[in-house]
Amino acid sequence: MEDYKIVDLYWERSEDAIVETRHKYERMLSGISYSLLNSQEDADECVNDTYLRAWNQMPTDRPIYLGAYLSKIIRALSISRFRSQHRQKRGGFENLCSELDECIPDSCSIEEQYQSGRLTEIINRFLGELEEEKRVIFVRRYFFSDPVDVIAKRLGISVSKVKTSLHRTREELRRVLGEEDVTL
Amino acid sequence: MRENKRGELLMDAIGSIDDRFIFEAQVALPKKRYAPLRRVLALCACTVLVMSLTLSLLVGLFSQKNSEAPGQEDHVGNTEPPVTDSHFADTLIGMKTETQSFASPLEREMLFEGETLLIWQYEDEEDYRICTLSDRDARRIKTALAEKNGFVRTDAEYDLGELEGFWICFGDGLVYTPYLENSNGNIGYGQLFDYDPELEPSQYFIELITNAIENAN
Repeated sequence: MEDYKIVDLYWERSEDAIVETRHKYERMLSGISYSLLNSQEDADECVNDTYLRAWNQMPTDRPIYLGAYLSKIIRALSISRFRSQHRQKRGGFENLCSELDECIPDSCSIEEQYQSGRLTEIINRFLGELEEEKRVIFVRRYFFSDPVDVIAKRLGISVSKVKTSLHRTREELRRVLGEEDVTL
Repeated sequence: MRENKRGELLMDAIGSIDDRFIFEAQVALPKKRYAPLRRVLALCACTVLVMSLTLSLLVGLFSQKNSEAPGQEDHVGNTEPPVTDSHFADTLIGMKTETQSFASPLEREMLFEGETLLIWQYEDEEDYRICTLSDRDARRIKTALAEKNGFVRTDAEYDLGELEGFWICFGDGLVYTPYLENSNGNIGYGQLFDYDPELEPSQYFIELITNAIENAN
């Protein structure tokens, strides 16, 4: 079913909305959550929480890209769940944070920028200027939390190419964040 | 843990990126991969080579076909067919016996009846040889006559020998001869005309006529 029809079902308060959402997006949502939490049980709970949140936020929200909308919800829920658990546990989220840490220059006042919402603005602009393939790789890795080999398989490229692309993109992001921090 | 804290903030910020980027990555599929430049160039070179060889072969075959089996295809090329080794008149003289069935007196009305006629006369006969062509042969001859491909200008001493003349009529009353340029004064109407040859038909044209006569026989 088309996204807009599913959204209409949410707005009509039809329970078929959940059925159709589950049918279309459950696998993707479960994958995002599992990559962050490394636990199928936790991932399943996050998926169900995502449906509930989507049900509660629509009809107020009317997303154009329902997949992206749901992905953001489950990503936030999964990260929140991870944080509520013991921090010593090494999971996918921890690994991703370590990778991204390379992107942040020491002089960068990232907390301030995050608080002001400026950080997302900078990242959006940065992504908009990237080549499509690099952008997809970056988003698959740091938004969808896909493992490198999964990205390579999905895009039909080698694992080393994905790693190289991610490394260069992180370097570029580091440079951009450094420049932006200076101007603030 | 300071580093991880900063990394987490970046992860959180990435969680709010534009929906378009998420959608783009969500639907991303493997792109069609092109061969490395060197392989592409090698492929191009091979393609050009194969095409050149094929073209040469086809041109060769086409030329051979025209010279060996005229009348199989319309002559539309602009390349000049080989000039005749024997005169057109000699060819028609050589067909005198086998075209006996076409011998007939000419009536003016015949030139207006819509059919394409090849008409020729031998010096020692009163009747004309009148050959009615199929539409296909008529079309080929009309094209060849219009293009004058390979027709060569003759010298002043050119002699038709035992042939009095050769004419072509496409059924509209106009009379042409391949021995003259198609121009005012060189085209008759409703009657056959005398002429001194100025052009010698090409080998292709001779074979076209010969083939058409054989088809009509």
